[in-house]
Amino acid sequence: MKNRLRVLRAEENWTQAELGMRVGVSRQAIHAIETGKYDPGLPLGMKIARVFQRRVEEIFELGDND
Amino acid sequence: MAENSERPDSGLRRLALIVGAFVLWFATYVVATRLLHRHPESAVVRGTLAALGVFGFVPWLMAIARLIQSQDEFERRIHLVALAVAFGATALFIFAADFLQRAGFVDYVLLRTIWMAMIVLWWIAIMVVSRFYR
Repeated sequence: MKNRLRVLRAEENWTQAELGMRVGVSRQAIHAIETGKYDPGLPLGMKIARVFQRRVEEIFELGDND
Repeated sequence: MAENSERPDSGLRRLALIVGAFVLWFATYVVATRLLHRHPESAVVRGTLAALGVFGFVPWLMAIARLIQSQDEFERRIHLVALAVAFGATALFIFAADFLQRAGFVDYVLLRTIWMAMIVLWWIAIMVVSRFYR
């Protein structure tokens, strides 16, 4: 999956740790999502969408291999 | 998913739980092993010591399970993948030991060697998988 997490986080001027705290995961989890090493589950994806006040599909989209 | 609203001392409590469970495991293991080494005649005593050795391990397993359960979904994924890697590595280790024994390179493989290897491989798998994801 591809995501715009890094861009959206930069727009809000949040650190990875800060975003992690807002959605209840570690900084490492946010880093892994941003680098595409880890695709979050539905609840976490929805929490991320909620803190950015966007729809899930505005942040995450299927990649070519998905 | 774990929330960050949990009490700040909960991490410390979990660590204390794991350390305590480990000490209990170590103590019961040493006591059971040493007393069984004396070859007591009574089957009841031997059975009790064997049970002590086995059930002393259970609290540690439960403490580890609780620790994993309390982590966020990313950490749980790391543990899941690490367990899968450790399972495969342990299977490979047992196969290798079996064939080395059949081939005459190893006389006898102790069961304790296998479970100790399993724990070591699990630990290595956690390190490797954590490194991959980070």
